[in-house]
Amino acid sequence: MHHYLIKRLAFLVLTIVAASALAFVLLHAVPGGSAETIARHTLVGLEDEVSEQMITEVSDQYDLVDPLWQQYLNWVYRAVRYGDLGTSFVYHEPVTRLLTLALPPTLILAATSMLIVIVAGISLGIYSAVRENRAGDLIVRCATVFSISFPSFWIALMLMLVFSLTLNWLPVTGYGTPAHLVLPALALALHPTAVVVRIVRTSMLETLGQPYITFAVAKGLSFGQIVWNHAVKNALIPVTTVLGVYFGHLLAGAVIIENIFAWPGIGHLLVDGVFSHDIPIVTSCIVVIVTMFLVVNLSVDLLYRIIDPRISYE
Amino acid sequence: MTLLDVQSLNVHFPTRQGAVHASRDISFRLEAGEVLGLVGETGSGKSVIGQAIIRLLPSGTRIAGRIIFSGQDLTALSESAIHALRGSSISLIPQNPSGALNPVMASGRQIAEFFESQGRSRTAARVRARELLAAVGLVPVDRIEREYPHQLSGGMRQRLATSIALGGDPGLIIADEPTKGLDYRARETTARLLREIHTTGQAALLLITHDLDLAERICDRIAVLYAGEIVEIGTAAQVFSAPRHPYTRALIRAIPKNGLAPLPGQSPSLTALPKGCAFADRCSCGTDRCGLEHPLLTQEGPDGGVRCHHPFSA
Repeated sequence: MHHYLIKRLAFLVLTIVAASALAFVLLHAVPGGSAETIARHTLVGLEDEVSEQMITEVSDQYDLVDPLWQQYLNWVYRAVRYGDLGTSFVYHEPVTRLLTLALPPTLILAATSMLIVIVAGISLGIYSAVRENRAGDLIVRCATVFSISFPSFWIALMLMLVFSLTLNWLPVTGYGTPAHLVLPALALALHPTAVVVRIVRTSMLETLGQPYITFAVAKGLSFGQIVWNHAVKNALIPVTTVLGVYFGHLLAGAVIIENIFAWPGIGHLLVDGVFSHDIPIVTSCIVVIVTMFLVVNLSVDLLYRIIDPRISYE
Repeated sequence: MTLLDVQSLNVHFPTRQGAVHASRDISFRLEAGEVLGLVGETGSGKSVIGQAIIRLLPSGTRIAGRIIFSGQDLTALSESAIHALRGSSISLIPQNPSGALNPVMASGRQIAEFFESQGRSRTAARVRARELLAAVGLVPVDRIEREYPHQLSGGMRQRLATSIALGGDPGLIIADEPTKGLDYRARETTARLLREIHTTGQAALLLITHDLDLAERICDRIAVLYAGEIVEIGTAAQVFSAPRHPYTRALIRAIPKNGLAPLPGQSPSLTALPKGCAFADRCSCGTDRCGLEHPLLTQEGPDGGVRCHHPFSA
């Protein structure tokens, strides 16, 4: 077990290093270098010409003259040694401060969506399997096809149109109250919920055909005992992996939804950073997102041990 | 007293290739405390009879005939009425215990949940479960009750499944191929266990098996099945010492200790049964009549009979 954990943690660190290096290098390769961006944001207007002198000045001030690999190593060194992820070129604030502001909204949104995915996805999936080919099952299956077929940004806009603009029940955009959370969480959760419903349904139907279910019937157990104690636990084992991947996606992939609803999370910060060539912000956001994704997946793998006694990491 | 009286049971499965006649005109009686063996090769329809009695056949299966158990016709009972009998009046020792045990439920729980379904408290159910584990020789109970099926050997799993079948103190136990897939030692323990059930309890045992050696050791009476029909029925002593049907004789000769003489050919397809005797193609003593006229099961004595135009003399 310890051996396994050490191996997984080492892999986690390696992945984070690789992802951050890749982000760092690619962003520097984008035309219209960092010094130019900083000069536009600090010395002149966004549309103005930037002189050679300004570039030299800014490059000196922000350590942009060193070769790229050295800049990266410096960044890593400061991050590890002082927990300093650099200073935003645009906001002139430490990136760590911006991240601590953006992280809670992202976590709240992802956790809420995840709760919807787990509760609705699993219960509808079980319902659909138990009522196989009857009216309830058909309705659920139609709804899932509908939810999977439409992209989440379109669904977000439709929710906004109906619930905010037409019915005036919920705020259009912004952050702060539980009411602000409803639409982004729904828009984000709908697609994964539909996928989870279908996976749970398939898994449940497969499990219900297993010989241990037939034996449970022969034992004279009640329908509830058979479904809950025998079918659901076995059927949810493969679903756990999918849920883990989706939680990672919800944490990392809320970029579009956060931007549509002006939700001040990591996704929003990341897109802002990309548009304004704010390299420290983008690199740090990518590191945070990659880390969250990897930690969630590792947790799921460890969770397996609890759910499925046949798995051992010795 | 007659516990089980099966009268002209016909089971067929409608399929796209036509109806599969799994059991045809099956009639036999089982007295309380008696052991009846249903023997035959794979595909002879013996397991279907057991499943028809405890009503575990898939929906869509056509069943005709009567199965009288303790005075009531099981084929006419409602789902809830048959449900009430399962586990407590009629129980099943499953084929393939590895598949019949829930892989993610501890051994003790798999027994205890039956008692909980009967309305006992969790503690009382656990006490009974521990008694049963000890009764079938699964010791030390403290360790076994916490272990999962994958931690037990094949023979131990069969004992666990058997203990579940014994839990409700049923009047009829259907053992469906209890030694299939077990190694020699596990097979021996299972045989001993079945004999113990027979000598210590009052339960009647319907032993469905292709293992003639096992049948000879524990059965009072034997019914030999071929292509979904009973071709010979009689006391174990009579059937084994003086078989009357050519198929029975061939089966007995195929047992290792009797020389392992193979029976050439294959049993007919259950979707396209011949007009005459189903065994005619493989029979060494067949005549023209056998291919044209379907033989009937003769009545010889209170519980004997043979389905052959040219039986060997008793």
